[in-house]
Amino acid sequence: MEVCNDMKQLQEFIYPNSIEEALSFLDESTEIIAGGTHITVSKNQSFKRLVDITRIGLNYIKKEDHQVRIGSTTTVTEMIESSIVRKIGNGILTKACQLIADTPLRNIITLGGNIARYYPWAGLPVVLLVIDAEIIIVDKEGLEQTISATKYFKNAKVKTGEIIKEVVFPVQSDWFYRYEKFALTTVDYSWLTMAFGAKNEGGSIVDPHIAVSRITKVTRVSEVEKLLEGKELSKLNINEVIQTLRTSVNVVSDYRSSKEYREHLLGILFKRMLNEMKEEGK
Amino acid sequence: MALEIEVIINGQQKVLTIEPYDLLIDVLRREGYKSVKRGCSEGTCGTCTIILNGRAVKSCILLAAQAHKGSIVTVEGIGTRDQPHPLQQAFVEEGAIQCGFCIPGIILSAKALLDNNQSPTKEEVKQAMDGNLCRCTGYSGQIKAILSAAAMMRGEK
Repeated sequence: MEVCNDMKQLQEFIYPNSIEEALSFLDESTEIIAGGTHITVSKNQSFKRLVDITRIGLNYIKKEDHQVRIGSTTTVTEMIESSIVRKIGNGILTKACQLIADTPLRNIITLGGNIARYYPWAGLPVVLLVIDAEIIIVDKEGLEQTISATKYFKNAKVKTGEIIKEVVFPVQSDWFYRYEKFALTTVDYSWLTMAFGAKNEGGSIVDPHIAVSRITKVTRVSEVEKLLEGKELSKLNINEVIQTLRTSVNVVSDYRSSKEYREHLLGILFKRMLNEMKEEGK
Repeated sequence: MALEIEVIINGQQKVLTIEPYDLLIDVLRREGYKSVKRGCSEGTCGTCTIILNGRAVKSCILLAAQAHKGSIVTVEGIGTRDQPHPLQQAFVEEGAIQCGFCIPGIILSAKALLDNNQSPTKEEVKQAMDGNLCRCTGYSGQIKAILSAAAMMRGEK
């Protein structure tokens, strides 16, 4: 029989019924599978066992006071269809989900899968960063650890033996949020992904959050956040902000576009976001 | 180590013996569902699209083991030559097929849409079809055919 993938080393596929049972199977030679859209196409696979976590009760969207909990195996399509999700980040989570891959892939890609590894093309990490989401990870002992998205994407990636249980999104409807994925077609991989969130308090920017990915490892841009803090929107020198942004982000080039092109693009996209914030504040 | 999975394919309950690394597309073709076509093998082109638990998915990047206890629909299960599905009928009437290789996947993406949405807009049709490439037709005939099938299924034609 024709097998295109390099997965002949895989000996076992396990269907646990609970988080505890799933944890008991995890070790160095085991990989977790949820949507699995990346597992079969990635090279140099070495795991011998796959543990399917799509049947352990992590598929849910729960609304609570001022926050929403989304289980890690909830699919992108389920998030797009949810009216609760549309309230998160004033719609930027829904927008980011709509711009992930294509329909049959969105039907299978999960929230947890999009953040479990630092895939440069992943759309959701920047959204989690600007919304101040928290990632709940269940560790080897079965204990829940709450990690802020900022810490998670800096250095706290999910480790072997752990499972991402859910993501908690605060709902702050008085914030201004924007998300952009720049690509040539709707289903193209991202060329530049960025998100922005801030509060407009009497015409001033408060607590700005800026996150970028694809052009660099996913990160917040603290230099520009500091520069914007407390600034009056009407007196904002946008060109100065853009200049700082371009020099603060360590933009790398790839075969699609040069460093210079990406830096230019970064400035243009952020300029539009700031102008929209100005307009909305009027 | 081989394992057994229980699946319903086109309404028929089956128990299949598979290897954990078997791709869903390979298992379906081995079982005789030859409408499931291999294209890019990396989840891009959509010729391998099937319906799994009511949603269109790409069977070339899924492991067969992931379909355990699931319900699968392929083109073999939705119509016959004598009694075609309204989508198949509409594709013929609109001349929406040239080489035909992508069509099973396209029909199934369209069916998944119409099963969930009886009256899609043109934009909704385009979005539902965004995972299926067709290198012959340019899509406009297919979009027309899907809208026409939707009308047929609503009893308006």
